[in-house]
Amino acid sequence: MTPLLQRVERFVAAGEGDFDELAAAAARFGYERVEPYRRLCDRRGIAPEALDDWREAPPVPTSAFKSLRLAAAEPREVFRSSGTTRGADRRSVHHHPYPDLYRAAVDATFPAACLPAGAGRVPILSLIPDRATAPDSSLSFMAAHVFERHAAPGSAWAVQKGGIELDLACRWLRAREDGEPVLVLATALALVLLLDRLKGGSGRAIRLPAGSRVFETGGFKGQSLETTPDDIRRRVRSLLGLDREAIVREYGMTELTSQAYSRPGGERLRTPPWMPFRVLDPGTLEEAEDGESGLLAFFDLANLGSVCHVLTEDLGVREGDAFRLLGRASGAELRGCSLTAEELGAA
Amino acid sequence: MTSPVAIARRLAAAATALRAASDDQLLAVWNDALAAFLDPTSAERRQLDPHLLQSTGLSPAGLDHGLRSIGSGMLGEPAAAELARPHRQNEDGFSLVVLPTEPPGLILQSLLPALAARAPVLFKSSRAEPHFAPAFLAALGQRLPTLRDAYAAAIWTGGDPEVEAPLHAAARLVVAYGGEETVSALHIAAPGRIVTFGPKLSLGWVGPDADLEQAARGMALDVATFDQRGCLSVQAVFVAPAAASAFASGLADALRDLASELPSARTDAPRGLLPGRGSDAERAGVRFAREDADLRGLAWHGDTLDAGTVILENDTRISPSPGLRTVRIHPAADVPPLDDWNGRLQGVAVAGHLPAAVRRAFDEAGVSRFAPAGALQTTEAAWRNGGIDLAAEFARSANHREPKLKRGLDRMHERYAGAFRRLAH
Repeated sequence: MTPLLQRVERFVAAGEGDFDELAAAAARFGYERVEPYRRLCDRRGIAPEALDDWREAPPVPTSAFKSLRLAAAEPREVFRSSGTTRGADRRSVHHHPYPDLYRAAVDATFPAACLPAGAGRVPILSLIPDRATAPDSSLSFMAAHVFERHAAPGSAWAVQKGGIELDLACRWLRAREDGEPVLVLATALALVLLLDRLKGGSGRAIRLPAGSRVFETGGFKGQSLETTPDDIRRRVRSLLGLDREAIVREYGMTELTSQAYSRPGGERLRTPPWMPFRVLDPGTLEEAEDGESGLLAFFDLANLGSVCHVLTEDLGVREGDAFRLLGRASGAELRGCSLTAEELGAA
Repeated sequence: MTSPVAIARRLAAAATALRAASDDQLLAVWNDALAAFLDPTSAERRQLDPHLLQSTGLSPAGLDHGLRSIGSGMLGEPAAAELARPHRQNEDGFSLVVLPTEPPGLILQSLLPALAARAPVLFKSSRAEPHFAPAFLAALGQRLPTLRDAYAAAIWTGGDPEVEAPLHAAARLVVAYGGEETVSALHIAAPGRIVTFGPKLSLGWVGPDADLEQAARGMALDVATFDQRGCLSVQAVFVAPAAASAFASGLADALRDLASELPSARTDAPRGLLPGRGSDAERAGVRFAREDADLRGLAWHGDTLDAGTVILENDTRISPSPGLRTVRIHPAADVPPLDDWNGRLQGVAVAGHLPAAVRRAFDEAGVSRFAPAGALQTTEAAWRNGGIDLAAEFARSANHREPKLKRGLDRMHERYAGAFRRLAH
């Protein structure tokens, strides 16, 4: 283990150290070890010493993970995105040499953001595939670690290779109405499918114990499902008996190791101290004014094994110390004589 | 306000009178109305243009050029030939056509076949571009009252089951432009009676014998028409490897020249998340594409984000353009890999020789239009979008369509299989 990795782990786990200093060291680490990144810096005339300020390190677009090997050391895990973008079965590939750092990042954020207050182990229902089902999914890696750390006996994975086992999920939830608070892990899409099933089923609505939580991630990735976050909240209330404060939104992606979370019931997303975000004006790549939309960029120290400074295809706006997601940069999805007003959100 | 269902009922009842209209009557009305809508000095256009410029964000020159591209090939003889085709709706009833937001004027491509088939149609206008369709239908109706009774445009919120369920149940045929999810949802709602035009893109091919300067000028026009927002807009160009770099440079120059003749989005157009207005999403997408090119060590040409970007790729895999006249040049001497794009390619603008094997590969991928570079977006009345003969579809008896249950189940399976694949990030 490199000394820098140890220092980053201590910062992530215990907040020990100085972020700016670690970030500069991490940027230089990337310059030294990740050849495509070094070439980018060289082409732009950015010398290693200029990386003393992490903001000067050029952010790497997430699309680069589709075509380049960005690894600072021999990978121990290889994560692949689900490849929603047409045209490419060019899925993002994150070569990850430091899975323990990933686990440390999860440990340092997930319990406070997602677990019911004061909970030790809790019954967890996962609508996210387990590792056997999705061995190269970073989300499954995270969910598996959450299970290992926090799942009470009786917790269940409700996804198999054939799809989400909605009947199993409904039975599991119904059986825990009178028990202790539970945690449901789900992508937004999986949650919608579960709510659709509950609505369409013949049984009564479920009333989960107070204090239960729903972890919702993934958004809709440009899909035009006939639903909105508000609609999901309403349906979670009516079909699972949980108010909006029960829902925690997570923002993560294959290309990042760390995650941002909303407060319970909130929309705005906050990053941990080792992953500051910036909203960048597309025209200049300078930081946008507060309230102005732009591309979201993250400097994720836990990405030490690949590249820390990542430019996403997501549009957002800063609101104080948090950001709000607005949509996706154009080009992520195919269009052409096809967009309807509803898909544009103009209805 | 009259409900869409009530309008549809009225349209359905007009089928008999519509069948009595002669080809000559329809042709005269069509030619007169369309000529007026292609003339920016006509009373109709003077009234319409301020609204269209606002809703589309196109420049006046861009709007005029775009409308002429869609409509000029539908005037006169080509329209007469279409109207004289033998397909006729011989029963009562109406069809529903769900129009896209852009490009404006696309109603013409489904309206002429509907007239030819004497098929009454309710058009669902896009809320974001609600002007062209009702204006054009009103112009037809003023010239021939029978058409006022048989064609109408309305706006409602897509997906509202109270409005759409009875429409889908009653329509003889649903024709819809939409994203993949929308299209899938419609296949479930109206199984067996639906024709859909999902999202597509178009490409260019520049053979080794092409005149590069001429090819660049033509391709630039195919990129810039409708500000690269239509399915016939060129988003990527395959070029003979030896010429790729020179062509990329020439195309960048041509796009720059075209920027004054055919300006992109009006600078005073409202900025926002809607595509096509120098929107934040498009500008962000172009920036992202440029940063990606930089990291991969690719050469690219471009000035401001709105002015056009040409990226010289190093392989043949294509990806969608973020817009704002962004084009990727792919060196290719032979058949490019198109498997990912089956059913999602619309046209190919050609400069120089197109080898038969490459042509076959494009055909097999579903390309329905080949045209010389510079003419791809100037469509003719006889062009069958996606290879679909809409007049025949409008005319076909509702009893002779694909079994509803099977098609609905197939689509549902497709939808949920896709949803599951997207579960993990």
